Amino acid sequence: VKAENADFSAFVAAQSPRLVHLAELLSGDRHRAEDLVQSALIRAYLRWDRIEGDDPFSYVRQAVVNAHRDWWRRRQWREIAAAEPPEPQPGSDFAAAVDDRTSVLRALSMLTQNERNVVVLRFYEDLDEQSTARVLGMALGTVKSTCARALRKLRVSPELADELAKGAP
Amino acid sequence: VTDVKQLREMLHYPDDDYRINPEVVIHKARRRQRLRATAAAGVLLLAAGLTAWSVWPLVAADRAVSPPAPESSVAPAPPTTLDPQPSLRSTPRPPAPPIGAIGTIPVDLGDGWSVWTQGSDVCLQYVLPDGRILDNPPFTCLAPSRLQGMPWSSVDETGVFIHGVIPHEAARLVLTFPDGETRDARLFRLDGIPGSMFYALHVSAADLPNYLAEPSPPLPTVTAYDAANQVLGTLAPPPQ
Repeated sequence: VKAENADFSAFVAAQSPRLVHLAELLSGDRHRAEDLVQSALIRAYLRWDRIEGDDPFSYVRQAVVNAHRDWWRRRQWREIAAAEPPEPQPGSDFAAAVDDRTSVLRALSMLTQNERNVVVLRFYEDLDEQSTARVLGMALGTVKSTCARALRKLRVSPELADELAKGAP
Repeated sequence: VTDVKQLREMLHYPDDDYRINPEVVIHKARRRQRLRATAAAGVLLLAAGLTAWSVWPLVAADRAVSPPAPESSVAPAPPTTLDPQPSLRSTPRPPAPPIGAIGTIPVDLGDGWSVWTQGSDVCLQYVLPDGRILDNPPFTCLAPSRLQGMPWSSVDETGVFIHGVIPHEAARLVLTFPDGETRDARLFRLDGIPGSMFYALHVSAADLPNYLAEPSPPLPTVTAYDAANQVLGTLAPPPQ
Protein backbone atom coordinates (compact mmCIF):
# COMPACT_ATOMS: atom_id res chain seq x y z
CA VAL A 1 0.00 0.00 0.00
CA LYS A 2 2.88 2.32 0.85
CA ALA A 3 4.50 1.84 -2.58
CA GLU A 4 1.11 2.36 -4.20
CA ASN A 5 0.62 5.56 -2.21
CA ALA A 6 4.09 6.77 -3.20
CA ASP A 7 3.34 6.17 -6.89
CA PHE A 8 0.01 7.89 -6.58
CA SER A 9 1.51 10.85 -4.70
CA ALA A 10 4.19 11.22 -7.37
CA PHE A 11 1.52 11.19 -10.06
CA VAL A 12 -0.51 13.85 -8.24
CA ALA A 13 2.55 16.04 -7.71
CA ALA A 14 3.55 15.79 -11.36
CA GLN A 15 0.18 16.07 -13.06
CA SER A 16 -2.04 18.14 -10.82
CA PRO A 17 -0.93 21.55 -12.19
CA ARG A 18 -1.84 20.49 -15.74
CA LEU A 19 -5.11 18.94 -14.58
CA VAL A 20 -6.09 22.03 -12.57
CA HIS A 21 -5.30 24.24 -15.56
CA LEU A 22 -7.43 22.01 -17.78
CA ALA A 23 -10.30 22.06 -15.27
CA GLU A 24 -10.07 25.82 -14.96
CA LEU A 25 -10.35 26.21 -18.74
CA LEU A 26 -13.39 23.93 -18.72
CA SER A 27 -15.15 25.47 -15.74
CA GLY A 28 -13.86 29.05 -15.73
CA ASP A 29 -13.43 28.96 -11.95
CA ARG A 30 -10.25 28.17 -10.07
CA HIS A 31 -11.81 26.84 -6.88
CA ARG A 32 -14.18 24.64 -8.84
CA ALA A 33 -11.27 23.44 -10.95
CA GLU A 34 -9.36 22.34 -7.85
CA ASP A 35 -12.40 20.51 -6.60
CA LEU A 36 -13.09 18.78 -9.91
CA VAL A 37 -9.50 17.55 -10.03
CA GLN A 38 -9.62 16.42 -6.43
CA SER A 39 -12.82 14.43 -7.08
CA ALA A 40 -11.26 12.84 -10.16
CA LEU A 41 -8.11 11.96 -8.22
CA ILE A 42 -10.16 10.33 -5.46
CA ARG A 43 -11.78 8.10 -8.08
CA ALA A 44 -8.37 7.35 -9.53
CA TYR A 45 -6.91 6.46 -6.12
CA LEU A 46 -9.72 3.97 -5.47
CA ARG A 47 -8.88 2.21 -8.78
CA TRP A 48 -5.17 2.88 -8.80
CA ASP A 49 -4.11 -0.79 -8.98
CA ARG A 50 -6.13 -1.18 -12.18
CA ILE A 51 -5.23 2.07 -13.95
CA GLU A 52 -1.64 2.58 -12.85
CA GLY A 53 -0.13 0.31 -15.49
CA ASP A 54 -2.39 1.67 -18.21
CA ASP A 55 -2.60 5.45 -18.69
CA PRO A 56 -3.58 7.13 -15.43
CA PHE A 57 -3.50 10.62 -16.91
CA SER A 58 -6.12 9.75 -19.55
CA TYR A 59 -8.26 8.17 -16.87
CA VAL A 60 -8.11 11.23 -14.61
CA ARG A 61 -8.64 13.62 -17.52
CA GLN A 62 -11.76 11.70 -18.51
CA ALA A 63 -12.94 11.81 -14.88
CA VAL A 64 -12.38 15.58 -14.76
CA VAL A 65 -14.40 16.09 -17.96
CA ASN A 66 -17.19 13.84 -16.67
CA ALA A 67 -17.26 15.51 -13.25
CA HIS A 68 -17.42 18.91 -14.89
CA ARG A 69 -20.30 17.87 -17.13
CA ASP A 70 -22.16 16.37 -14.14
CA TRP A 71 -21.69 19.57 -12.18
CA TRP A 72 -22.81 21.66 -15.14
CA ARG A 73 -26.06 19.72 -15.33
CA ARG A 74 -26.94 20.03 -11.67
CA ARG A 75 -25.43 23.37 -10.61
CA GLN A 76 -27.90 24.76 -8.12
CA TRP A 77 -26.01 26.00 -5.14
CA ARG A 78 -25.47 29.62 -4.54
CA GLU A 79 -23.21 31.51 -2.23
CA ILE A 80 -24.03 34.68 -0.38
CA ALA A 81 -21.09 36.84 0.59
CA ALA A 82 -22.15 39.41 3.12
CA ALA A 83 -18.83 41.22 3.11
CA GLU A 84 -16.54 42.12 0.23
CA PRO A 85 -13.46 39.96 0.82
CA PRO A 86 -10.18 41.84 0.88
CA GLU A 87 -8.15 41.07 -2.23
CA PRO A 88 -4.36 40.83 -2.20
CA GLN A 89 -2.41 43.68 -3.74
CA PRO A 90 -0.73 42.03 -6.69
CA GLY A 91 2.60 42.98 -8.16
CA SER A 92 2.90 43.79 -11.86
CA ASP A 93 3.91 40.25 -12.99
CA PHE A 94 1.08 38.78 -11.04
CA ALA A 95 -1.29 41.36 -12.49
CA ALA A 96 -0.14 40.57 -16.05
CA ALA A 97 -0.60 36.84 -15.50
CA VAL A 98 -4.04 37.38 -14.06
CA ASP A 99 -4.84 39.61 -17.03
CA ASP A 100 -3.90 36.89 -19.56
CA ARG A 101 -5.88 34.30 -17.69
CA THR A 102 -8.89 36.58 -17.29
CA SER A 103 -8.95 37.45 -20.99
CA VAL A 104 -8.80 33.81 -22.05
CA LEU A 105 -11.42 32.70 -19.55
CA ARG A 106 -13.69 35.57 -20.52
CA ALA A 107 -13.36 34.69 -24.21
CA LEU A 108 -14.13 31.04 -23.44
CA SER A 109 -17.17 32.08 -21.45
CA MET A 110 -18.72 33.40 -24.69
CA LEU A 111 -18.84 29.83 -25.99
CA THR A 112 -21.45 27.22 -25.24
CA GLN A 113 -20.33 24.49 -22.85
CA ASN A 114 -19.88 21.99 -25.71
CA GLU A 115 -17.89 24.48 -27.76
CA ARG A 116 -15.72 25.24 -24.78
CA ASN A 117 -15.08 21.56 -24.03
CA VAL A 118 -14.10 20.91 -27.64
CA VAL A 119 -11.77 23.93 -27.85
CA VAL A 120 -10.04 23.07 -24.58
CA LEU A 121 -9.49 19.42 -25.44
CA ARG A 122 -8.41 20.16 -29.02
CA PHE A 123 -6.10 23.10 -28.36
CA TYR A 124 -5.00 22.81 -24.73
CA GLU A 125 -4.80 19.04 -24.48
CA ASP A 126 -3.86 18.74 -28.19
CA LEU A 127 -6.21 15.82 -28.74
CA ASP A 128 -7.13 15.00 -32.32
CA GLU A 129 -10.77 15.17 -33.38
CA GLN A 130 -11.27 11.43 -32.94
CA SER A 131 -9.95 11.44 -29.36
CA THR A 132 -11.92 14.58 -28.51
CA ALA A 133 -15.08 12.90 -29.74
CA ARG A 134 -14.32 9.84 -27.62
CA VAL A 135 -13.62 11.81 -24.43
CA LEU A 136 -16.73 13.96 -24.82
CA GLY A 137 -18.97 11.13 -26.06
CA MET A 138 -19.83 13.08 -29.20
CA ALA A 139 -19.98 12.13 -32.87
CA LEU A 140 -16.91 13.00 -34.92
CA GLY A 141 -18.95 15.24 -37.23
CA THR A 142 -20.37 17.10 -34.24
CA VAL A 143 -16.87 17.74 -32.90
CA LYS A 144 -15.79 19.14 -36.27
CA SER A 145 -18.77 21.45 -36.65
CA THR A 146 -18.65 22.53 -32.98
CA CYS A 147 -14.96 23.33 -33.26
CA ALA A 148 -15.44 25.38 -36.43
CA ARG A 149 -18.29 27.33 -34.82
CA ALA A 150 -16.22 27.98 -31.66
CA LEU A 151 -13.26 29.25 -33.68
CA ARG A 152 -15.52 31.59 -35.64
CA LYS A 153 -16.74 33.07 -32.35
CA LEU A 154 -13.24 33.36 -30.88
CA ARG A 155 -11.94 35.12 -34.01
CA VAL A 156 -14.28 38.01 -33.32
CA SER A 157 -13.96 37.94 -29.53
CA PRO A 158 -12.90 41.39 -28.29
CA GLU A 159 -11.09 39.78 -25.35
CA LEU A 160 -8.72 37.82 -27.54
CA ALA A 161 -8.42 40.61 -30.11
CA ASP A 162 -6.90 42.76 -27.32
CA GLU A 163 -4.49 40.00 -26.39
CA LEU A 164 -3.43 39.55 -29.99
CA ALA A 165 -2.95 43.27 -30.45
CA LYS A 166 -0.67 43.28 -27.37
CA GLY A 167 1.39 40.41 -28.75
CA ALA A 168 1.60 41.83 -32.28
CA PRO A 169 4.99 43.24 -33.39
CA VAL B 1 -7.65 34.47 -33.30
CA THR B 2 -6.05 34.16 -36.68
CA ASP B 3 -4.72 30.66 -36.31
CA VAL B 4 -4.94 27.85 -33.85
CA LYS B 5 -1.25 28.19 -32.92
CA GLN B 6 -2.04 31.51 -31.24
CA LEU B 7 -5.07 30.00 -29.56
CA ARG B 8 -2.91 27.16 -28.22
CA GLU B 9 -0.45 29.66 -26.75
CA MET B 10 -3.21 31.65 -25.14
CA LEU B 11 -4.75 28.58 -23.54
CA HIS B 12 -1.36 27.78 -22.02
CA TYR B 13 -1.33 31.05 -20.08
CA PRO B 14 1.20 31.24 -17.23
CA ASP B 15 -0.03 29.54 -14.13
CA ASP B 16 1.02 29.42 -10.49
CA ASP B 17 1.89 25.71 -10.71
CA TYR B 18 -0.74 24.83 -8.11
CA ARG B 19 -0.37 21.28 -6.81
CA ILE B 20 -3.09 19.23 -5.17
CA ASN B 21 -2.00 17.76 -1.83
CA PRO B 22 -1.96 13.96 -2.33
CA GLU B 23 -2.40 13.40 1.43
CA VAL B 24 -5.76 15.12 1.25
CA VAL B 25 -6.84 13.02 -1.74
CA ILE B 26 -5.81 9.78 -0.02
CA HIS B 27 -7.59 10.80 3.19
CA LYS B 28 -10.81 11.58 1.33
CA ALA B 29 -10.60 8.41 -0.75
CA ARG B 30 -10.16 6.21 2.31
CA ARG B 31 -13.00 7.97 4.04
CA ARG B 32 -15.22 7.33 1.03
CA GLN B 33 -14.17 3.67 1.08
CA ARG B 34 -15.14 3.40 4.74
CA LEU B 35 -18.48 5.09 4.13
CA ARG B 36 -19.24 2.76 1.25
CA ALA B 37 -18.36 -0.26 3.37
CA THR B 38 -20.61 1.01 6.16
CA ALA B 39 -23.44 1.67 3.71
CA ALA B 40 -23.06 -1.81 2.20
CA ALA B 41 -23.14 -3.36 5.67
CA GLY B 42 -26.27 -1.32 6.43
CA VAL B 43 -27.98 -2.59 3.29
CA LEU B 44 -27.10 -6.19 4.20
CA LEU B 45 -28.43 -5.66 7.71
CA LEU B 46 -31.62 -4.15 6.33
CA ALA B 47 -32.02 -7.01 3.88
CA ALA B 48 -31.50 -9.52 6.70
CA GLY B 49 -34.05 -7.67 8.82
CA LEU B 50 -36.62 -7.63 6.01
CA THR B 51 -36.08 -11.33 5.36
CA ALA B 52 -36.57 -12.15 9.04
CA TRP B 53 -39.72 -10.01 9.07
CA SER B 54 -41.21 -11.74 6.03
CA VAL B 55 -40.35 -15.22 7.39
CA TRP B 56 -41.76 -14.51 10.85
CA PRO B 57 -45.48 -15.00 10.00
CA LEU B 58 -44.67 -18.39 8.48
CA VAL B 59 -42.83 -19.45 11.62
CA ALA B 60 -45.69 -18.22 13.79
CA ALA B 61 -48.26 -20.12 11.70
CA ASP B 62 -46.15 -23.26 11.89
CA ARG B 63 -46.00 -22.97 15.69
CA ALA B 64 -49.74 -22.49 15.89
CA VAL B 65 -50.45 -25.90 14.31
CA SER B 66 -47.61 -27.77 16.03
CA PRO B 67 -48.44 -29.71 19.20
CA PRO B 68 -47.18 -28.00 22.33
CA ALA B 69 -43.84 -29.23 23.51
CA PRO B 70 -43.91 -31.26 26.75
CA GLU B 71 -43.18 -29.17 29.77
CA SER B 72 -39.65 -29.54 30.89
CA SER B 73 -38.80 -29.92 34.50
CA VAL B 74 -35.53 -28.21 33.89
CA ALA B 75 -35.75 -24.52 34.53
CA PRO B 76 -34.42 -22.34 31.78
CA ALA B 77 -30.88 -21.26 32.34
CA PRO B 78 -30.58 -17.77 33.76
CA PRO B 79 -29.00 -15.26 31.44
CA THR B 80 -25.29 -15.23 31.88
CA THR B 81 -23.35 -12.07 32.18
CA LEU B 82 -20.78 -13.58 29.82
CA ASP B 83 -23.29 -13.50 27.01
CA PRO B 84 -24.02 -9.86 26.47
CA GLN B 85 -25.90 -8.55 23.46
CA PRO B 86 -23.79 -5.67 22.32
CA SER B 87 -26.23 -4.59 19.66
CA LEU B 88 -28.92 -4.04 22.30
CA ARG B 89 -26.71 -2.19 24.70
CA SER B 90 -26.87 1.52 24.64
CA THR B 91 -23.43 2.81 23.82
CA PRO B 92 -22.57 5.95 25.74
CA ARG B 93 -22.16 8.93 23.49
CA PRO B 94 -18.52 9.95 23.31
CA PRO B 95 -17.72 13.30 24.83
CA ALA B 96 -17.80 16.25 22.48
CA PRO B 97 -14.48 16.53 20.67
CA PRO B 98 -12.23 19.39 21.73
CA ILE B 99 -11.83 22.49 19.67
CA GLY B 100 -9.71 21.42 16.73
CA ALA B 101 -6.28 22.75 15.89
CA ILE B 102 -5.82 22.77 12.16
CA GLY B 103 -2.70 21.37 10.48
CA THR B 104 -1.74 20.20 7.00
CA ILE B 105 -2.83 16.58 7.50
CA PRO B 106 -6.61 16.11 7.56
CA VAL B 107 -7.81 15.55 11.08
CA ASP B 108 -11.00 13.68 11.77
CA LEU B 109 -12.71 15.65 14.55
CA GLY B 110 -15.68 13.34 14.89
CA ASP B 111 -19.33 14.06 14.18
CA GLY B 112 -18.47 14.10 10.48
CA TRP B 113 -15.98 16.95 10.53
CA SER B 114 -12.48 16.95 9.06
CA VAL B 115 -10.22 19.97 8.80
CA TRP B 116 -6.82 20.70 7.38
CA THR B 117 -4.86 23.49 5.79
CA GLN B 118 -3.61 23.68 2.25
CA GLY B 119 -1.16 26.49 1.76
CA SER B 120 -2.81 29.44 3.44
CA ASP B 121 -6.30 28.04 2.91
CA VAL B 122 -8.45 26.39 5.53
CA CYS B 123 -10.12 23.26 4.18
CA LEU B 124 -13.13 21.71 5.74
CA GLN B 125 -15.14 18.60 5.01
CA TYR B 126 -18.44 17.61 6.57
CA VAL B 127 -20.10 14.25 6.12
CA LEU B 128 -23.85 14.38 6.57
CA PRO B 129 -25.46 11.66 8.69
CA ASP B 130 -26.74 10.01 5.49
CA GLY B 131 -23.21 9.72 4.12
CA ARG B 132 -23.26 12.56 1.61
CA ILE B 133 -20.06 14.56 1.69
CA LEU B 134 -20.01 18.32 1.55
CA ASP B 135 -16.59 19.01 0.18
CA ASN B 136 -17.19 21.12 -2.87
CA PRO B 137 -16.65 24.84 -3.02
CA PRO B 138 -17.58 26.89 -1.23
CA PHE B 139 -17.44 24.24 1.44
CA THR B 140 -13.67 23.78 1.42
CA CYS B 141 -10.40 25.54 1.16
CA LEU B 142 -10.91 29.24 1.63
CA ALA B 143 -8.21 31.67 2.64
CA PRO B 144 -8.86 33.01 6.14
CA SER B 145 -8.53 36.54 4.72
CA ARG B 146 -11.58 35.86 2.58
CA LEU B 147 -13.51 34.69 5.60
CA GLN B 148 -12.85 37.55 7.98
CA GLY B 149 -15.87 39.51 8.95
CA MET B 150 -19.34 38.30 8.20
CA PRO B 151 -20.13 34.65 7.70
CA TRP B 152 -20.38 33.00 4.32
CA SER B 153 -23.32 30.79 3.74
CA SER B 154 -24.11 28.26 1.07
CA VAL B 155 -27.53 26.82 0.50
CA ASP B 156 -28.14 23.61 -1.38
CA GLU B 157 -30.58 20.72 -1.20
CA THR B 158 -28.93 19.38 1.98
CA GLY B 159 -29.52 22.56 3.93
CA VAL B 160 -27.40 25.55 4.76
CA PHE B 161 -23.71 25.60 5.48
CA ILE B 162 -22.37 28.65 7.27
CA HIS B 163 -18.75 29.36 8.03
CA GLY B 164 -16.44 32.24 8.82
CA VAL B 165 -13.68 33.52 11.02
CA ILE B 166 -14.10 35.46 14.23
CA PRO B 167 -11.40 37.71 15.66
CA HIS B 168 -11.77 36.16 19.12
CA GLU B 169 -10.46 33.23 21.13
CA ALA B 170 -13.98 32.06 21.85
CA ALA B 171 -15.10 29.06 23.85
CA ARG B 172 -18.53 28.98 22.28
CA LEU B 173 -20.12 30.49 19.20
CA VAL B 174 -23.85 30.83 18.75
CA LEU B 175 -25.67 31.65 15.53
CA THR B 176 -29.06 33.32 15.96
CA PHE B 177 -31.39 33.00 12.99
CA PRO B 178 -33.95 35.70 12.10
CA ASP B 179 -36.82 33.83 13.78
CA GLY B 180 -34.88 33.58 17.05
CA GLU B 181 -33.69 29.98 16.57
CA THR B 182 -30.14 29.46 17.82
CA ARG B 183 -27.51 26.90 16.93
CA ASP B 184 -24.01 26.30 18.29
CA ALA B 185 -21.31 26.26 15.61
CA ARG B 186 -18.17 24.13 15.63
CA LEU B 187 -14.99 26.08 16.43
CA PHE B 188 -11.50 25.44 15.11
CA ARG B 189 -8.24 27.12 16.06
CA LEU B 190 -6.26 28.50 13.16
CA ASP B 191 -2.58 27.59 13.27
CA GLY B 192 -0.43 30.66 12.96
CA ILE B 193 -3.30 33.08 13.43
CA PRO B 194 -3.60 33.63 17.17
CA GLY B 195 -6.66 35.48 18.29
CA SER B 196 -8.87 34.20 15.46
CA MET B 197 -11.01 31.12 15.15
CA PHE B 198 -12.74 29.42 12.28
CA TYR B 199 -16.32 28.35 12.78
CA ALA B 200 -18.70 26.24 10.77
CA LEU B 201 -22.23 24.95 11.04
CA HIS B 202 -24.43 22.80 8.86
CA VAL B 203 -28.17 22.95 9.42
CA SER B 204 -30.23 20.41 7.53
CA ALA B 205 -33.17 21.51 5.42
CA ALA B 206 -35.53 19.57 7.71
CA ASP B 207 -34.24 21.39 10.78
CA LEU B 208 -34.98 24.95 9.66
CA PRO B 209 -37.57 24.57 6.88
CA ASN B 210 -39.00 28.08 7.10
CA TYR B 211 -35.62 29.74 7.03
CA LEU B 212 -34.46 27.69 4.06
CA ALA B 213 -37.73 28.18 2.19
CA GLU B 214 -36.86 31.83 1.69
CA PRO B 215 -35.38 32.61 -1.71
CA SER B 216 -32.40 34.32 -0.15
CA PRO B 217 -32.16 33.35 3.52
CA PRO B 218 -30.68 36.20 5.57
CA LEU B 219 -27.52 35.46 7.49
CA PRO B 220 -27.74 34.75 11.20
CA THR B 221 -26.18 36.92 13.87
CA VAL B 222 -22.94 35.50 15.20
CA THR B 223 -22.18 35.82 18.91
CA ALA B 224 -18.91 34.68 20.45
CA TYR B 225 -18.69 33.79 24.16
CA ASP B 226 -15.73 33.12 26.42
CA ALA B 227 -15.49 30.24 28.87
CA ALA B 228 -17.39 32.26 31.51
CA ASN B 229 -20.24 32.78 29.01
CA GLN B 230 -19.47 36.47 28.63
CA VAL B 231 -20.09 37.94 25.20
CA LEU B 232 -16.81 38.60 23.39
CA GLY B 233 -18.32 40.09 20.28
CA THR B 234 -21.24 40.01 17.88
CA LEU B 235 -21.43 40.13 14.12
CA ALA B 236 -24.83 41.18 12.86
CA PRO B 237 -25.80 40.89 9.21
CA PRO B 238 -26.31 44.12 7.29
CA PRO B 239 -29.93 45.14 6.69
CA GLN B 240 -31.28 43.58 3.50
